[in-house]
Amino acid sequence: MTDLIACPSCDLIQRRVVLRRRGRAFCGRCGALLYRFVRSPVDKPLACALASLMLFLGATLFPFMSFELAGRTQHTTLASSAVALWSDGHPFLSALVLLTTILAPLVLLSGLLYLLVPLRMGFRLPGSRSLCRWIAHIKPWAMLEVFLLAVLVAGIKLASDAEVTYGSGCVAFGALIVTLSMTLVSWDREVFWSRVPCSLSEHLWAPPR
Amino acid sequence: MFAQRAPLGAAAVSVSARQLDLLRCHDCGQLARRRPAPERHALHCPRCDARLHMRKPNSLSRTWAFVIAAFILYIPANLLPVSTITKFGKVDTDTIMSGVIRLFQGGDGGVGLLLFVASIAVPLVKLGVLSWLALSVHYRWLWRPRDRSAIFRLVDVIGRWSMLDIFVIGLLVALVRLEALASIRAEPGALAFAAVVILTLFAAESFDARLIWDAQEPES
Repeated sequence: MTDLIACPSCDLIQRRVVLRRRGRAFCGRCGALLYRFVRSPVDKPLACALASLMLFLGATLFPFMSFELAGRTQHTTLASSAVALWSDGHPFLSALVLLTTILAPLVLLSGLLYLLVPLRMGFRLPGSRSLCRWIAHIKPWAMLEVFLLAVLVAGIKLASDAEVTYGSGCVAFGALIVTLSMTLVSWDREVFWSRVPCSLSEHLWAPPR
Repeated sequence: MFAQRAPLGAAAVSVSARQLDLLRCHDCGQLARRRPAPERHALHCPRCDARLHMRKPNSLSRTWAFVIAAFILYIPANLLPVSTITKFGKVDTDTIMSGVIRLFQGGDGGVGLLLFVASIAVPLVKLGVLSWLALSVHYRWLWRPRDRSAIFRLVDVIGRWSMLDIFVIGLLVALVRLEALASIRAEPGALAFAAVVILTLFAAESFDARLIWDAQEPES
Protein backbone atom coordinates (compact mmCIF):
# COMPACT_ATOMS: atom_id res chain seq x y z
CA MET A 1 0.00 0.00 0.00
CA THR A 2 3.02 2.26 0.40
CA ASP A 3 3.27 3.17 -3.29
CA LEU A 4 -0.38 4.18 -3.59
CA ILE A 5 -1.18 7.87 -3.58
CA ALA A 6 -4.39 9.85 -3.87
CA CYS A 7 -4.47 12.92 -6.11
CA PRO A 8 -4.73 16.02 -3.87
CA SER A 9 -6.97 17.70 -6.41
CA CYS A 10 -9.43 14.89 -7.30
CA ASP A 11 -8.80 12.02 -4.86
CA LEU A 12 -8.05 9.43 -7.57
CA ILE A 13 -6.00 6.50 -6.31
CA GLN A 14 -2.83 6.02 -8.33
CA ARG A 15 0.46 4.15 -8.10
CA ARG A 16 3.66 6.13 -7.61
CA VAL A 17 5.99 5.41 -10.52
CA VAL A 18 9.71 6.01 -11.04
CA LEU A 19 10.07 8.97 -13.38
CA ARG A 20 12.65 9.35 -16.10
CA ARG A 21 14.96 12.35 -16.10
CA ARG A 22 13.06 15.68 -16.15
CA GLY A 23 9.79 13.75 -16.06
CA ARG A 24 6.69 14.93 -14.28
CA ALA A 25 3.74 12.86 -13.12
CA PHE A 26 0.24 14.19 -13.69
CA CYS A 27 -3.02 12.86 -12.34
CA GLY A 28 -4.64 10.60 -14.92
CA ARG A 29 -8.08 12.01 -14.23
CA CYS A 30 -7.88 15.73 -13.43
CA GLY A 31 -4.44 16.56 -14.86
CA ALA A 32 -2.96 18.05 -11.66
CA LEU A 33 0.82 17.88 -11.23
CA LEU A 34 1.49 15.14 -8.68
CA TYR A 35 5.30 15.10 -8.40
CA ARG A 36 8.35 15.62 -10.55
CA PHE A 37 11.74 14.04 -11.10
CA VAL A 38 14.53 15.44 -8.94
CA ARG A 39 17.92 13.85 -9.37
CA SER A 40 19.15 14.61 -5.85
CA PRO A 41 16.01 15.19 -3.80
CA VAL A 42 17.99 16.09 -0.65
CA ASP A 43 21.16 17.73 -1.97
CA LYS A 44 19.52 20.00 -4.54
CA PRO A 45 16.98 21.70 -2.27
CA LEU A 46 19.64 21.84 0.46
CA ALA A 47 22.15 23.61 -1.78
CA CYS A 48 19.50 25.95 -3.19
CA ALA A 49 18.11 26.77 0.26
CA LEU A 50 21.62 27.58 1.55
CA ALA A 51 22.27 29.85 -1.44
CA SER A 52 18.84 31.45 -0.98
CA LEU A 53 19.44 32.18 2.69
CA MET A 54 22.75 33.88 1.91
CA LEU A 55 21.18 35.91 -0.89
CA PHE A 56 18.30 36.76 1.43
CA LEU A 57 20.76 38.17 3.98
CA GLY A 58 22.35 40.21 1.18
CA ALA A 59 18.97 41.45 0.00
CA THR A 60 17.95 42.60 3.49
CA LEU A 61 21.25 44.11 4.61
CA PHE A 62 22.49 45.91 1.51
CA PRO A 63 20.91 49.06 0.01
CA PHE A 64 17.87 48.11 -2.02
CA MET A 65 16.66 51.12 -3.98
CA SER A 66 17.26 54.83 -3.77
CA PHE A 67 15.27 57.79 -4.98
CA GLU A 68 16.78 61.15 -5.90
CA LEU A 69 14.81 64.33 -6.53
CA ALA A 70 16.05 67.91 -6.62
CA GLY A 71 19.36 67.00 -4.98
CA ARG A 72 17.81 65.06 -2.10
CA THR A 73 18.20 61.31 -1.85
CA GLN A 74 16.11 58.70 -0.03
CA HIS A 75 17.82 55.32 0.52
CA THR A 76 15.78 52.20 1.29
CA THR A 77 16.34 48.57 2.25
CA LEU A 78 14.03 45.60 1.78
CA ALA A 79 12.39 46.25 5.16
CA SER A 80 11.78 49.96 4.47
CA SER A 81 8.30 49.41 2.99
CA ALA A 82 7.05 47.73 6.14
CA VAL A 83 8.72 50.36 8.35
CA ALA A 84 7.32 53.28 6.34
CA LEU A 85 3.79 51.85 6.28
CA TRP A 86 3.99 51.32 10.04
CA SER A 87 5.13 54.86 10.77
CA ASP A 88 2.43 56.24 8.46
CA GLY A 89 -0.23 54.57 10.60
CA HIS A 90 -0.99 51.44 8.55
CA PRO A 91 -0.07 48.60 10.93
CA PHE A 92 -2.12 46.02 9.01
CA LEU A 93 -0.52 46.79 5.63
CA SER A 94 2.88 46.94 7.31
CA ALA A 95 2.40 43.50 8.89
CA LEU A 96 1.20 42.06 5.59
CA VAL A 97 4.22 43.37 3.67
CA LEU A 98 6.57 42.21 6.45
CA LEU A 99 5.01 38.74 6.45
CA THR A 100 5.03 38.20 2.68
CA THR A 101 8.46 39.65 1.89
CA ILE A 102 10.56 38.91 4.96
CA LEU A 103 9.07 36.64 7.62
CA ALA A 104 7.53 33.95 5.40
CA PRO A 105 10.61 33.50 3.15
CA LEU A 106 12.92 33.54 6.17
CA VAL A 107 10.91 30.95 8.12
CA LEU A 108 10.49 28.87 4.96
CA LEU A 109 14.23 28.81 4.20
CA SER A 110 15.45 28.24 7.74
CA GLY A 111 12.75 25.61 8.25
CA LEU A 112 13.85 23.73 5.14
CA LEU A 113 17.47 23.83 6.31
CA TYR A 114 16.40 22.51 9.72
CA LEU A 115 14.87 19.52 7.91
CA LEU A 116 17.37 19.03 5.10
CA VAL A 117 20.73 19.27 6.92
CA PRO A 118 19.84 16.42 9.33
CA LEU A 119 18.19 14.52 6.46
CA ARG A 120 21.50 14.70 4.58
CA MET A 121 23.32 13.26 7.58
CA GLY A 122 20.69 10.67 8.35
CA PHE A 123 19.00 11.83 11.55
CA ARG A 124 16.03 13.94 12.56
CA LEU A 125 15.89 16.93 14.90
CA PRO A 126 13.06 17.37 17.43
CA GLY A 127 9.98 19.10 16.07
CA SER A 128 10.74 18.13 12.46
CA ARG A 129 7.31 16.61 11.86
CA SER A 130 5.36 19.70 12.95
CA LEU A 131 7.83 21.90 11.08
CA CYS A 132 7.41 19.96 7.85
CA ARG A 133 3.64 20.36 8.12
CA TRP A 134 4.01 24.10 8.80
CA ILE A 135 6.32 24.63 5.84
CA ALA A 136 3.51 23.66 3.46
CA HIS A 137 1.23 26.21 5.10
CA ILE A 138 3.83 29.02 5.06
CA LYS A 139 4.86 28.51 1.42
CA PRO A 140 1.96 30.42 -0.23
CA TRP A 141 2.71 33.48 1.93
CA ALA A 142 6.21 34.00 0.55
CA MET A 143 5.49 36.37 -2.35
CA LEU A 144 8.97 37.50 -3.34
CA GLU A 145 8.37 37.16 -7.09
CA VAL A 146 5.35 39.47 -6.86
CA PHE A 147 7.49 41.94 -4.89
CA LEU A 148 10.16 41.85 -7.60
CA LEU A 149 7.56 42.83 -10.21
CA ALA A 150 6.41 45.61 -7.85
CA VAL A 151 10.02 46.88 -7.70
CA LEU A 152 10.05 47.17 -11.50
CA VAL A 153 6.62 48.85 -11.59
CA ALA A 154 7.60 51.35 -8.87
CA GLY A 155 10.84 52.06 -10.74
CA ILE A 156 8.96 52.81 -13.97
CA LYS A 157 6.37 54.94 -12.16
CA LEU A 158 9.07 57.13 -10.61
CA ALA A 159 11.52 57.15 -13.51
CA SER A 160 9.68 59.95 -15.34
CA ASP A 161 10.37 62.63 -12.76
CA ALA A 162 13.15 61.38 -10.50
CA GLU A 163 16.39 59.41 -10.47
CA VAL A 164 15.88 55.83 -9.26
CA THR A 165 18.91 53.61 -8.62
CA TYR A 166 18.91 49.94 -7.75
CA GLY A 167 21.39 48.88 -5.07
CA SER A 168 23.29 45.64 -4.58
CA GLY A 169 20.48 44.40 -2.31
CA CYS A 170 18.17 44.53 -5.28
CA VAL A 171 20.57 42.42 -7.37
CA ALA A 172 20.77 39.85 -4.57
CA PHE A 173 16.99 39.91 -4.42
CA GLY A 174 16.71 39.15 -8.14
CA ALA A 175 19.08 36.19 -7.76
CA LEU A 176 17.14 35.08 -4.67
CA ILE A 177 13.95 34.70 -6.76
CA VAL A 178 15.79 32.21 -8.98
CA THR A 179 17.34 30.14 -6.18
CA LEU A 180 14.15 30.19 -4.09
CA SER A 181 12.02 28.88 -6.94
CA MET A 182 14.67 26.18 -7.60
CA THR A 183 14.48 25.26 -3.91
CA LEU A 184 10.71 24.95 -3.93
CA VAL A 185 10.58 23.03 -7.23
CA SER A 186 13.14 20.48 -6.05
CA TRP A 187 11.66 20.09 -2.55
CA ASP A 188 9.26 17.15 -2.33
CA ARG A 189 7.95 16.72 1.21
CA GLU A 190 7.59 12.98 0.50
CA VAL A 191 11.41 12.82 0.77
CA PHE A 192 11.02 13.75 4.42
CA TRP A 193 7.83 11.83 5.16
CA SER A 194 8.98 8.59 3.53
CA ARG A 195 11.68 8.37 6.21
CA VAL A 196 9.28 8.94 9.07
CA PRO A 197 8.08 5.67 10.54
CA CYS A 198 4.34 5.23 10.56
CA SER A 199 2.95 4.69 14.02
CA LEU A 200 0.74 1.90 12.70
CA SER A 201 1.90 -0.46 10.01
CA GLU A 202 -1.44 -0.69 8.23
CA HIS A 203 -2.07 3.07 8.34
CA LEU A 204 -5.11 2.76 10.53
CA TRP A 205 -6.28 5.84 12.35
CA ALA A 206 -4.15 6.64 15.39
CA PRO A 207 -5.51 8.02 18.64
CA PRO A 208 -4.18 11.48 19.55
CA ARG A 209 -1.03 11.43 21.62
CA MET B 1 9.96 18.76 -20.27
CA PHE B 2 8.55 15.32 -20.85
CA ALA B 3 5.10 14.92 -19.45
CA GLN B 4 4.67 11.48 -18.03
CA ARG B 5 1.32 10.14 -17.00
CA ALA B 6 1.29 8.20 -13.78
CA PRO B 7 -0.42 5.00 -14.89
CA LEU B 8 -3.22 3.58 -12.84
CA GLY B 9 -2.59 0.42 -10.91
CA ALA B 10 -3.64 -3.01 -12.06
CA ALA B 11 -7.27 -2.00 -12.34
CA ALA B 12 -8.16 0.21 -15.27
CA VAL B 13 -11.22 1.58 -13.51
CA SER B 14 -10.74 4.83 -11.68
CA VAL B 15 -11.41 4.67 -8.01
CA SER B 16 -11.12 7.48 -5.51
CA ALA B 17 -9.74 7.26 -2.00
CA ARG B 18 -13.18 8.18 -0.69
CA GLN B 19 -14.78 5.17 -2.41
CA LEU B 20 -12.24 2.90 -0.69
CA ASP B 21 -12.92 4.67 2.61
CA LEU B 22 -9.33 5.94 2.67
CA LEU B 23 -8.47 9.39 3.97
CA ARG B 24 -5.64 11.36 2.39
CA CYS B 25 -3.73 13.40 4.96
CA HIS B 26 -3.81 17.02 3.86
CA ASP B 27 -0.41 17.71 5.41
CA CYS B 28 1.72 14.74 4.34
CA GLY B 29 -0.24 12.85 1.71
CA GLN B 30 -0.41 9.63 3.72
CA LEU B 31 -3.41 7.42 3.06
CA ALA B 32 -5.15 6.09 6.13
CA ARG B 33 -8.02 3.69 6.40
CA ARG B 34 -11.03 4.98 8.28
CA ARG B 35 -12.03 2.92 11.25
CA PRO B 36 -14.95 3.70 13.50
CA ALA B 37 -13.34 5.99 16.04
CA PRO B 38 -14.45 6.18 19.65
CA GLU B 39 -16.63 9.15 20.55
CA ARG B 40 -14.90 12.55 20.80
CA HIS B 41 -11.69 11.16 19.31
CA ALA B 42 -10.73 12.94 16.12
CA LEU B 43 -8.89 11.01 13.43
CA HIS B 44 -5.18 11.71 13.30
CA CYS B 45 -2.64 10.92 10.60
CA PRO B 46 -0.50 7.91 11.65
CA ARG B 47 2.57 9.51 10.06
CA CYS B 48 2.45 13.25 10.75
CA ASP B 49 -0.26 13.46 13.44
CA ALA B 50 -2.33 16.08 11.58
CA ARG B 51 -6.12 15.94 11.87
CA LEU B 52 -7.62 13.81 9.12
CA HIS B 53 -10.72 14.74 7.18
CA MET B 54 -12.32 13.03 4.21
CA ARG B 55 -12.89 16.52 2.74
CA LYS B 56 -11.97 19.95 4.05
CA PRO B 57 -14.52 20.61 6.81
CA ASN B 58 -17.40 22.92 5.79
CA SER B 59 -15.58 23.66 2.57
CA LEU B 60 -18.50 25.29 0.74
CA SER B 61 -19.74 27.39 3.67
CA ARG B 62 -16.26 28.66 4.40
CA THR B 63 -15.61 29.41 0.71
CA TRP B 64 -18.90 31.33 0.46
CA ALA B 65 -18.15 33.28 3.64
CA PHE B 66 -14.75 34.43 2.33
CA VAL B 67 -16.07 35.10 -1.20
CA ILE B 68 -19.00 37.21 0.02
CA ALA B 69 -16.79 39.16 2.45
CA ALA B 70 -14.32 39.79 -0.39
CA PHE B 71 -17.10 40.91 -2.75
CA ILE B 72 -18.32 43.41 -0.14
CA LEU B 73 -14.83 44.80 0.48
CA TYR B 74 -14.16 44.95 -3.26
CA ILE B 75 -16.51 47.98 -3.38
CA PRO B 76 -14.60 50.24 -0.93
CA ALA B 77 -11.33 48.89 -2.34
CA ASN B 78 -12.25 50.39 -5.70
CA LEU B 79 -14.16 53.50 -4.59
CA LEU B 80 -11.90 54.74 -1.77
CA PRO B 81 -8.55 56.35 -2.58
CA VAL B 82 -5.53 54.05 -2.23
CA SER B 83 -2.79 56.66 -2.29
CA THR B 84 -2.14 60.39 -2.05
CA ILE B 85 0.74 61.84 -4.02
CA THR B 86 2.20 65.23 -3.06
CA LYS B 87 4.57 66.64 -5.64
CA PHE B 88 5.92 70.22 -5.34
CA GLY B 89 2.92 71.15 -3.19
CA LYS B 90 0.38 69.68 -5.65
CA VAL B 91 -1.78 66.98 -4.05
CA ASP B 92 -3.33 64.13 -6.09
CA THR B 93 -5.53 61.46 -4.53
CA ASP B 94 -5.86 58.26 -6.55
CA THR B 95 -8.16 55.27 -6.50
CA ILE B 96 -6.93 52.08 -8.15
CA MET B 97 -8.70 52.95 -11.40
CA SER B 98 -7.64 56.60 -11.52
CA GLY B 99 -4.05 55.48 -10.91
CA VAL B 100 -4.32 53.17 -13.92
CA ILE B 101 -5.81 55.97 -16.06
CA ARG B 102 -3.02 58.31 -14.94
CA LEU B 103 -0.43 55.76 -16.11
CA PHE B 104 -2.13 55.49 -19.51
CA GLN B 105 -2.20 59.29 -19.86
CA GLY B 106 1.46 59.49 -18.83
CA GLY B 107 2.43 57.10 -21.63
CA ASP B 108 3.09 54.06 -19.41
CA GLY B 109 0.25 52.02 -20.90
CA GLY B 110 2.01 48.70 -20.36
CA VAL B 111 2.41 49.25 -16.63
CA GLY B 112 -1.15 50.59 -16.49
CA LEU B 113 -2.47 47.45 -18.14
CA LEU B 114 -0.42 45.28 -15.78
CA LEU B 115 -1.83 47.05 -12.71
CA PHE B 116 -5.36 46.91 -14.16
CA VAL B 117 -5.10 43.15 -14.65
CA ALA B 118 -3.47 42.47 -11.27
CA SER B 119 -5.62 44.80 -9.13
CA ILE B 120 -9.02 44.93 -10.81
CA ALA B 121 -9.43 41.99 -13.20
CA VAL B 122 -7.72 39.18 -11.26
CA PRO B 123 -9.62 39.61 -7.93
CA LEU B 124 -12.94 39.95 -9.76
CA VAL B 125 -12.30 36.94 -12.02
CA LYS B 126 -11.11 34.92 -9.05
CA LEU B 127 -14.20 35.74 -6.99
CA GLY B 128 -16.49 35.05 -9.97
CA VAL B 129 -14.82 31.71 -10.72
CA LEU B 130 -14.89 30.61 -7.07
CA SER B 131 -18.62 31.47 -6.81
CA TRP B 132 -19.30 29.58 -10.02
CA LEU B 133 -17.31 26.54 -8.82
CA ALA B 134 -19.05 26.59 -5.44
CA LEU B 135 -22.42 26.67 -7.22
CA SER B 136 -21.36 23.87 -9.54
CA VAL B 137 -20.45 21.72 -6.53
CA HIS B 138 -23.59 22.66 -4.63
CA TYR B 139 -25.83 21.58 -7.52
CA ARG B 140 -23.62 18.54 -8.27
CA TRP B 141 -23.01 19.47 -11.91
CA LEU B 142 -21.49 16.76 -14.08
CA TRP B 143 -20.23 19.26 -16.65
CA ARG B 144 -16.52 18.92 -17.65
CA PRO B 145 -14.95 18.22 -14.24
CA ARG B 146 -11.44 18.10 -15.69
CA ASP B 147 -11.75 21.64 -17.06
CA ARG B 148 -13.32 22.92 -13.85
CA SER B 149 -10.40 21.39 -11.92
CA ALA B 150 -7.89 23.06 -14.23
CA ILE B 151 -9.68 26.43 -13.95
CA PHE B 152 -9.56 26.21 -10.15
CA ARG B 153 -5.84 25.47 -10.17
CA LEU B 154 -5.20 28.37 -12.54
CA VAL B 155 -7.22 30.82 -10.42
CA ASP B 156 -5.41 29.57 -7.31
CA VAL B 157 -2.02 30.31 -8.88
CA ILE B 158 -2.75 33.77 -10.29
CA GLY B 159 -4.47 35.10 -7.14
CA ARG B 160 -1.21 36.00 -5.38
CA TRP B 161 -0.28 38.48 -8.14
CA SER B 162 -3.03 40.80 -6.88
CA MET B 163 -0.62 41.74 -4.08
CA LEU B 164 1.30 43.73 -6.71
CA ASP B 165 -0.48 47.03 -6.00
CA ILE B 166 0.04 46.73 -2.24
CA PHE B 167 3.77 46.19 -2.76
CA VAL B 168 3.99 49.08 -5.23
CA ILE B 169 2.31 51.41 -2.72
CA GLY B 170 4.60 50.10 0.05
CA LEU B 171 7.70 50.73 -2.07
CA LEU B 172 6.55 54.22 -3.12
CA VAL B 173 5.73 55.16 0.48
CA ALA B 174 9.23 54.09 1.54
CA LEU B 175 11.02 55.76 -1.39
CA VAL B 176 9.16 59.04 -1.79
CA ARG B 177 9.22 60.74 1.58
CA LEU B 178 10.71 64.17 1.04
CA GLU B 179 7.92 65.99 2.94
CA ALA B 180 6.41 68.90 0.95
CA LEU B 181 8.75 68.37 -1.99
CA ALA B 182 7.42 64.94 -2.81
CA SER B 183 5.69 62.32 -0.68
CA ILE B 184 3.28 59.45 -1.11
CA ARG B 185 0.87 58.19 1.55
CA ALA B 186 -1.25 55.05 1.64
CA GLU B 187 -4.99 55.64 2.09
CA PRO B 188 -7.86 53.51 3.50
CA GLY B 189 -8.67 52.05 0.06
CA ALA B 190 -5.34 50.19 0.16
CA LEU B 191 -6.39 48.56 3.43
CA ALA B 192 -9.70 47.40 1.92
CA PHE B 193 -7.87 46.15 -1.16
CA ALA B 194 -5.34 44.19 0.91
CA ALA B 195 -8.26 42.62 2.79
CA VAL B 196 -9.84 41.59 -0.55
CA VAL B 197 -6.62 39.89 -1.65
CA ILE B 198 -6.23 38.02 1.64
CA LEU B 199 -9.88 36.96 1.70
CA THR B 200 -9.61 35.58 -1.85
CA LEU B 201 -6.50 33.63 -0.80
CA PHE B 202 -8.44 32.16 2.13
CA ALA B 203 -11.45 31.45 -0.11
CA ALA B 204 -9.34 29.45 -2.56
CA GLU B 205 -7.65 27.66 0.35
CA SER B 206 -11.06 26.69 1.83
CA PHE B 207 -12.41 25.29 -1.44
CA ASP B 208 -11.86 21.55 -1.77
CA ALA B 209 -11.40 20.75 -5.49
CA ARG B 210 -12.14 17.08 -4.82
CA LEU B 211 -15.79 18.05 -4.34
CA ILE B 212 -15.96 18.66 -8.11
CA TRP B 213 -15.26 14.96 -8.65
CA ASP B 214 -17.40 13.58 -5.84
CA ALA B 215 -20.53 14.32 -7.87
CA GLN B 216 -19.20 12.13 -10.72
CA GLU B 217 -18.86 9.05 -8.55
CA PRO B 218 -21.67 6.76 -7.47
CA GLU B 219 -22.37 7.01 -3.76
CA SER B 220 -20.90 3.99 -2.03
